Amino acid sequence: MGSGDWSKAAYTASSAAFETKGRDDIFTTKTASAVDDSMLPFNVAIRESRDSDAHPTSLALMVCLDVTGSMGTIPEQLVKGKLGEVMNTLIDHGIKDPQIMFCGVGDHECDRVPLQISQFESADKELQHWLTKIFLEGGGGGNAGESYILPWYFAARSTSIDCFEKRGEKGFIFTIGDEPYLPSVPADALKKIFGSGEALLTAEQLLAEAQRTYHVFHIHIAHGSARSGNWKDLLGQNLITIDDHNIVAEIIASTVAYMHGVDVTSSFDAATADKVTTALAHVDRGVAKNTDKVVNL
Amino acid sequence: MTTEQAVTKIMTAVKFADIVDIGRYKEDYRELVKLVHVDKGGSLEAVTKLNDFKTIHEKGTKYEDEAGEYYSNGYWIKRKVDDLVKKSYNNYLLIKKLGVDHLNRYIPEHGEIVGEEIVYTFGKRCVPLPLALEGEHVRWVLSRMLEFIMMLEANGYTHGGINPDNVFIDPENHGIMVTSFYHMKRIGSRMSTINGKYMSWYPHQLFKFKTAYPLVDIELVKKTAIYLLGDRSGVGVRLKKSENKELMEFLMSQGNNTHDEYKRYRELLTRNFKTKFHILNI
Repeated sequence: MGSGDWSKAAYTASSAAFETKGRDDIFTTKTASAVDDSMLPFNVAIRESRDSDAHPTSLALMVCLDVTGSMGTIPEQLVKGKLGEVMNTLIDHGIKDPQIMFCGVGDHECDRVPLQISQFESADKELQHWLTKIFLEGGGGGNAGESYILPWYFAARSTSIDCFEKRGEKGFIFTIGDEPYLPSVPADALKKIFGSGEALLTAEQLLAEAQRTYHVFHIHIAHGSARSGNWKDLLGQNLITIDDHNIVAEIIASTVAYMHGVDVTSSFDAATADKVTTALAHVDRGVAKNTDKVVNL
Repeated sequence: MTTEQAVTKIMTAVKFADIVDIGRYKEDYRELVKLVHVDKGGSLEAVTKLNDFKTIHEKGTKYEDEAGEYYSNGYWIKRKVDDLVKKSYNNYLLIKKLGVDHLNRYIPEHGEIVGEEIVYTFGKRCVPLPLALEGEHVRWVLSRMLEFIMMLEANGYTHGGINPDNVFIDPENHGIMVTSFYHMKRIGSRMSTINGKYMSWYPHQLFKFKTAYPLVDIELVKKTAIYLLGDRSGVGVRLKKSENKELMEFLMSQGNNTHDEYKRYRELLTRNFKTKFHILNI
């Protein structure tokens, strides 16, 4: 997948058509049982982000959206225009072939659909298609957090990405939410969700697996009732905290660009640029490429 | 042996040992080269191949690892000595001093610095890992690598640099020979160096804690197996389409204890594959 082209004009038109619609009209999957089988990890052996003639330098991005009760606003904003901020900003600044997979993240302790996954896509039409198919379960519970660590497992064990496999360039995972992460996933939950899983796996283990091939970030939305828990201990500088959920798209684009050595903040208005700069102040590029020699730790 | 038989023997040989006794190769070579000489109705192609075998046996083929160039003919390794090579040699001697017979089977039989050169002899024929192997061969190579790091861990060490450049295979006996001990450390001590070529194969925890844990060797062994199965990135996900699912899950998972991982792997083999000795002719 990911072979189509991103069209700024077509996206602008399609997102404008959603502008006056409410969330219930945009997101077409209304029940857990109606979730498309192809979005359930259990049914997916591999998701691929591949280079092609149209996209010779594909870059895999997983954008993992919290679909529990408090966080439905962000998928809606992406559909209504913010997805364009991500794609246009990256493409305009030389990152020509981003391929995005959307994930819907719930809670494996109490939700019916704790993880949904799209294909990796480049084209506006397909991206909107998958985004609007995500089931906003609105669940989550009064437990310790949400299942932000499930996409890490899927990324490590089921995504094959040319950016890393061919060019040694890591992809990106952004989880976005307002809760702490659940600290582990039991083997039975893994088997139920993914059809595999050898034992209880901790957040630390899953993070390490995902970090083999991806830069892993979490964007914590620090609104009134949000709890960040121990994200900082787990992710360190890759935890990005913002209090304005309206700049999530700009944060994603800026982080990817920054890790590629490009400053894109000049393309935002002054207030947004200021917020993005502040949020990314502690992110360290730290990208080391393989060499043929001995490397000192 | 007739000229015709000698030509056939040379032309079908995969390795020098198929046509000469390595212990007395010079005498065997002389006899053969006379037999297949064009003046005797032999073949120029056979003479050329025979001479190539002899040259490689005497001078070795050039290879490269993180310390630079070295030469091997399948029975020895020779390379120039520098600080890094000396460090590796000292670590090799540390393993030797442990006096563990089973562990010694996985490292060169003898190592010696002669002038500006170091020479390791294998005591048997061992060849560098190829770019890819059939699954049945990868499985025994993986078994041997896991055994090696398990024994190393039992004696308190991590190798820290297992990769396709540093593992040789003994195809006749389904054994392996591990070389290049540049990064070897006592478990729990600070790791100071890694192999830059395979940097992305090291577990992320290493960059955070910089400590020599068995996890490091387990990850490197699994990545080497994935490489041998045909995915040179060491990731493995793309192989899920063609390889055994449980094997791939094992290779992509992390483990902290070599004994547990070895046990897990043996159980996986029993469940999924018939036990059979597969001849590897390289």
